[in-house]
Formats: sequence, C-alpha cells, structure tokens
Amino acid sequence: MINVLSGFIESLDPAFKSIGIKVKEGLHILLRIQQKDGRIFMDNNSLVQYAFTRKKDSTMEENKFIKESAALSRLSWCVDTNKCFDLPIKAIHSCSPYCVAIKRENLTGGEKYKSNTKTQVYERINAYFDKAIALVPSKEDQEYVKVFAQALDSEEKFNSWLNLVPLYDQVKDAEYVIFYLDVPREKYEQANNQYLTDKLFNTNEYNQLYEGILHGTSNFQNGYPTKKPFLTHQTASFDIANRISTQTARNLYDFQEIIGRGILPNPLPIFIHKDDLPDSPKGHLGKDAIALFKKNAEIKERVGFREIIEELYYKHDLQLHNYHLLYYDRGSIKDFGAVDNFQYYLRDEENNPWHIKDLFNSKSSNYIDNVFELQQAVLQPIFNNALITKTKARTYQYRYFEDIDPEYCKSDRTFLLVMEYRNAFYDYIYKSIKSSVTQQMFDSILRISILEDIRLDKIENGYDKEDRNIREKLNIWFSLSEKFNLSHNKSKETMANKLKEHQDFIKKLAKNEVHIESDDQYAFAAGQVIYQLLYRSRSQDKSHKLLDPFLRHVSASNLNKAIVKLLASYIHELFSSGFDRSIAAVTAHSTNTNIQDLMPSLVSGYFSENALFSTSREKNEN
Amino acid sequence: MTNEKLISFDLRADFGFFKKPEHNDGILLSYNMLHKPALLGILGAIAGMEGYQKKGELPAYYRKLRDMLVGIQPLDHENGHFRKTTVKYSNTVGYANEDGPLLVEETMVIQPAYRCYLLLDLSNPDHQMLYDQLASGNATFIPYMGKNEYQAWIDGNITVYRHQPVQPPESYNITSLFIKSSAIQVPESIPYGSFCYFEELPIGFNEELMQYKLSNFAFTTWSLNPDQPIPGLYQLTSEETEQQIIQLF
Repeated sequence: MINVLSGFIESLDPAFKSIGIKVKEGLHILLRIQQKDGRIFMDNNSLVQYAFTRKKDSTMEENKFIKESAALSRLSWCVDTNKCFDLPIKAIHSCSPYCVAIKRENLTGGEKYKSNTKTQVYERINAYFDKAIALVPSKEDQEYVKVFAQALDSEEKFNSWLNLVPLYDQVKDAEYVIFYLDVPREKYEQANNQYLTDKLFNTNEYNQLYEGILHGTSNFQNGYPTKKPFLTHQTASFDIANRISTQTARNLYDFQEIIGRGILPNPLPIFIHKDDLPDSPKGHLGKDAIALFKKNAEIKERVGFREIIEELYYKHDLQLHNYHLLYYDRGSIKDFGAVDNFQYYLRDEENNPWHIKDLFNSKSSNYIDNVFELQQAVLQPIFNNALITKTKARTYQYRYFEDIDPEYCKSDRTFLLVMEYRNAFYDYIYKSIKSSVTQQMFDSILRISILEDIRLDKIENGYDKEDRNIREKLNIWFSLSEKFNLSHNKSKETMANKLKEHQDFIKKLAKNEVHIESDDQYAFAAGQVIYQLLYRSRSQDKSHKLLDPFLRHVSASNLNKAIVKLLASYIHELFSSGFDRSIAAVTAHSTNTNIQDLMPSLVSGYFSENALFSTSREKNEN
Repeated sequence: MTNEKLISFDLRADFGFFKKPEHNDGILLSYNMLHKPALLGILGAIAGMEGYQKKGELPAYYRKLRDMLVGIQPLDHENGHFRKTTVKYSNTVGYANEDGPLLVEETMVIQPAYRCYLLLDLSNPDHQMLYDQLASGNATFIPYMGKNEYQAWIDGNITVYRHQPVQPPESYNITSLFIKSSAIQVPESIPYGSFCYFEELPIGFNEELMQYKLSNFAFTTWSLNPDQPIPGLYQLTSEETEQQIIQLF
C-alpha cells in the first residue's frame, strides 16, 4: 500500500499539492525586523499586517494575506503534537523558527491559562526558539530569529503586540494566534525540510543507511506501542518489520495531509503509474484521473467517485482496469484493494439491463443499468435506508465503512444485516468482485428484511405501513435473485417464472382442474388461503403482522392446524367455492419439508393477487 | 540434475491473513496471494524445521529452503482475487495490555487455495525430508495461512511433473503467478472473461534491513508476447494435467 500511495503523491504536480490548503482559524500576524545603523530590532512599526479569518467583509489585502498565511503555517506546523517543540505541555503547535502558533485558550485570560497550575506558555517561548533555531543553518538568519524570539518571550511583550490588533478580542479559545516573521517563503521551506528530516520517521532509534539512503520506521498509520505486547513480534529475529526511505516517508506525510483537505474523491481510485500496463492510444488513465481530480479541486467541487469513474470509463472505451481503490474516513484508512477490471454495466444473458419487474403490484418497475444504480434501486430499500441514505437535499450518503448507530436503523436485524453484508456489496460495486455477493447471501438478506417488515407492519391512517416496502422488496427478490448466481449451469427456472406458474396454478386449483403436486405449490396456496382468512378479520388490526405467526411454523402439519384454527373463527363467513377447494387441498397436503424453506412461496402466495375471491367487488378491494 | 523433482500440491484453508507489515495502526491489510516467504514457512512446518528463535538470526527453515525454486498458482479465485472481509476483535486480558484494551481490525482472506510447485533437489537432505513428508501426507507442525488459527491442509496427492526450462518462441500463457520485468502488452481485443491481475508480493528477505524484498507479480489469462522474455519459465507435463508453462522463482 505505501508504495502505491507514495507513487501517487509523486505523480501530483506541486500546484496540485497546494490546492485546498486550509488556513488555521484565528488571528494571523506578520512581524518584520527593522534595520537601522546596521542594527536589527523590532518596534511597533514591525507589525506590518494582520488578518482574522472570521472577519466579515475582509479586504482583498487581508484575503491575500490569509492565503499566504495558510501556506506559511503549513510549512511551520508540527508533524503531530508528540513531535512539537513544546513537550510535554504541547501548547505551541508550530515547529519553525519563523512562526509561533498558540491557541487562544493558552493565552492571558484563556480557559487553559486560568486553570493552569504549572508554567504558562510565555515562559516556554525561549525554550521553543532554542530548539527551532537549530533548523536555521546560517548565522545571519539565526540573528533574525533571535530578534523575533526576543520580541515574544514574555507575557507583556506578547500582549503588547496583540493590543495593537483590534480584532484580538473576537478570537475564540479554540482558535489560533499565529505570529509569522516576514522572511521569504524559501526560508520557511528550508526550515521545514530540516524539521521533517528528523521527524518524518516514527522514531529515530531504528534509522539505518541502506544503499546510501536513510531508512527508518514509518510514521504513516504506524505506532510502536510498547504497552501492547501482542502487537510486537515476540520471537522474530528483527525488531522492525518494515523500514521506508526518507522520500517515501515524506510522500506519505504529504498524502496524509492532502487527503485531510477533502479535495480528493472518496473512495479514491489510484491508477498505477509505472509500467504495469502501457499507455493506451486514448491517453494514460492515471494522468487523466489526476487531471480530473485537479480540475474539480480547483473549482472547490469535491467530485464523486462515480462521476470520475464514468468519465474515465467512457473516455477509455470502457477499458478501465488496473487501479487501486482507497477508502478513507477522517484520515484513517478503512479499505485498500486492487481492481483489475471495472465492470460498470449490469447485464443479463441477453445483454439487457437488469429489470425489477412489478410482480407484486407495487405500481413500479425499474431498469438497473449499472452498478451505481444498483445502490439506489436495490441497496437502499433492502437495507431500509441504513446503508444508502437519501438526504433531504436529494443526495445520497453511503455508509460502507462509517460507524452506524443502531438507534437510527429500522430494527436491530436491519443493523446486523448492514454490518454483515455492506463490505460484500462494496467489493461488488466498487471493485467488481462479483463473487463477493452470492445468491445465497442475497436471498438471506431479502428473506430477513421482508420477514422484519411483516413483523413491524401496522395500520397507520387506514393503510399498511410496510405494505409498499414489502412489495418492493418482493419485486427485487423475485426479479434479481438469479443475477447473483455465478454458476455456469444456471437453471432456467427463475423465481419470477415460478411465481407466474404458481399464479396460473392457483386459478386452476380454485376451479378443481389441478391438484397440489409440490411443496412449493402447497406453500403458495397456503399463502393465498391465509390472506383470504385474514381478510375476513373484523379486528382493527388487519396488518400484515398477522401473517407472522404462520411464518414461524416449521412443520406443515402445524401450519395446517393453524390454518384450520383460523378458519374456525370465520366459519360463518361466505367463502368462494375456489377458496373451499384450495383450503381443502392445502390442509390435506402433508410434507416433511421445513416450512422455513418454503417461505418465499408462502409469502409470495400471500402478497400475490388473490385468486380466491368470490366477487369482483372483493377482488377490487384486494 | 538427476535428483531434481518438480512436484505440486494444493494447499487450502478456510481463512488466510498474510499481513502487510508496513503499518500496524487502523485496518491491517493482507496480501491476496500466498507469497514465497509464507510458503517457505508452511513447508518448514511440514518438514519440522525450526522457526524464529533468536534476534538477528534468520530462522532455520528459511536458511535451508530459501534457494529452492517455487511456483504459486491461485485456485478457485475470481480473476485472481479471493474474497475478503474484515474482522474486528479486542483483547482485554491484562498481560496483553498495560494501557487498556487492544483493539484490532484486520483483513481475512476467505477460502484461499493455491497450487504450490516445488523444484526439489533430492540429493539435498532437507529437500528429501520435505518430499517424504509431503508424499506421506505428514506435517511435523501444523501448517497455517498467516495466523495459527487459520490452519491449512494439503488437498489431494502431490503431482510429479516432467519439466524443462523454456523460452517460448510464440505467444504463450503462464498458469502460475509470475514476476514481470516490464509492462504487459494488452491484447488488441481483450477476450470476454479474461483478466490480468497484479500484486506486489514478497519474494524473500532483504537481509540487511530484515524486511520483505518485494517484486511485481502478475497473473493473467492473456497470451504473452515472446518478445518480452520472462525469466524462470518451465514447461511441465504430467499424466494428470495438460502441458503448461509456469514460472519458478
């Protein structure tokens, strides 16, 4: 992984690397050293410029200074607070001889200042500069730094500068006060490079020269926790499992910093640049991808993975292969994997888009053209909005790796379903690993999700709350189940075909033209019969939840007993002759098959158009 | 060499985790493919050779087997990939943590399976011992795929091949993983269902830095161009299998 990320950074031009640098919120103050009679010093004239990031209607001059400050503070910042010069207190976050950055909370009157019982930050400024001055090679520059240090080395001096800035009162505790010394940016860069040479590695204890290049322990997603013995190889012949070169460490540091700016898509496709595959006549995929990232970063538009992939996919004649896919969340890597060949379209054997047919009277049917449409058309409903969430702004949020709060899921089962299968669908959609979602998995998801909807159904405003969800999921299940069967010897009999056969069968059964010959026919007929019986209910709750107890049976004999018992409640009702024939056939059927295995047929019988009504009025009400 | 014997056996496990040692924070990633250092560890376990014992000293199995040529071919894969998932676990026992629970998130390779080719020199007693163990289906220590809870087994008998080094004069296919020295030429029309898989994998240890030495591997169904020679190719024939070309490294 680190070689790929390092290579990615090397392929970015310097202009790209500086896009989207965020300015530290707070007050930025520029001080300039005065010269007179060969003497260098600072006085009130040294305050040449300041800007406050939250100031409304900033002038052009101020905006320009804020932009410059963003670049200077980037070159002045510590790698992490454990590597700052103000240890162990860690209140000064800059690590440059030309910059001092302190949060307002540590300054006079700030929360930490008030509660502090040890040294205040002002007393440590000299110690900070003692370390920072070591980053400056020339004597002349060191003299400048000493003057800068003397101008800030006490609470009184520090505050006297701030008293010259009217906006200081508006700085909040969490915001920074940053002083910069007015020297060319190259000086900042030199000092920063010097600082990083020493600090890019996790520790300098294991540095080793190899082929003339310094190698050390990576600081990227890496730690050496001595208090976690299980993370340390106890018997290995080596102390450090992996060392990286200074250049790689620098690249990884830059990478971490750039992804933190939020200018790159997530997931991030990283095309291999070296020579795994040669350039195509249409151009180089990697270069084209980076050009797209850059174009969108420059206009401050964080382009999505889908848009990037689609643009590249069409430009390169649908030959999109050989890239790595990185998923990160707040700087933390959640997934990293290779994609050899991106498969965008979803096609059936006849090369048609996948079709979700309206098999259960939901008044909607849908064509799914590509893997991204699968997310909205299938994953959103089957995971009850928990994995793919439609926002009020009509955009979608994807939670393939983010923490999901079970409290905001439809039910505990929904939460477990998402947690169990989201990784498989991510691989399926984003990495084209088609075997990651099997038909068995898809059936299991739909079975659980539909049973959960039946269990949770209730009547609201005269309608079944979950009716639409159940029918939509049944449509998805019966239309798409076989699409996840990757076997070469697929049966031509699909759930949708079988449903049609069952619907024809029940009509004939009602007319006494056929008999029940299979367990599936039995389960479908049982579903139709149960619907008829529950339809007669006079109770207020006529929701689909009443089906739930029937779905919990294991044996056909117990299911038949439950049907007969329900019939006894409505024996006074007038049923059609078709119903009489059907219930007789159902209750006469015996089988050792587990009713749980017949659940799809039973539920489909219940939710299909019911063929056992006696009058057209009843049919219309159905 | 008269004592040379080229054999293969199929190695399978329910799960695998071939850790990438480059980071230890956040999600721990696994190589997708069995690699040579991991295979040598498995062979060492089968032959009963000692593992890591002392700081600064390479384990006995590695010293004895590192020069042996091997080939690796993934089985039951999808375009070279195995399914993966991540597992999170915590370890809260006191002796494992002095500063709070150990929380680990790592990748699991699901049902990894590989055909492993070995070029044995039976005049070498270590190779002879390994061959005897493999032929008799014995293993002194339990072999595993990266973690000792992911135990591996040899599926079926070993196959013995007639073999000879080869540099094909016409376009050819390699059935095993191979180290590529240059870019692979994309066919003019990519056959439906074909693939080309790449992974940077360890091939041994950089003994100075004591870390994996990596090479760029490929695995493909595409025909390769003889103009771009690939070293270490062998043509194999046996009674059970069709003639094939693999790379030994």
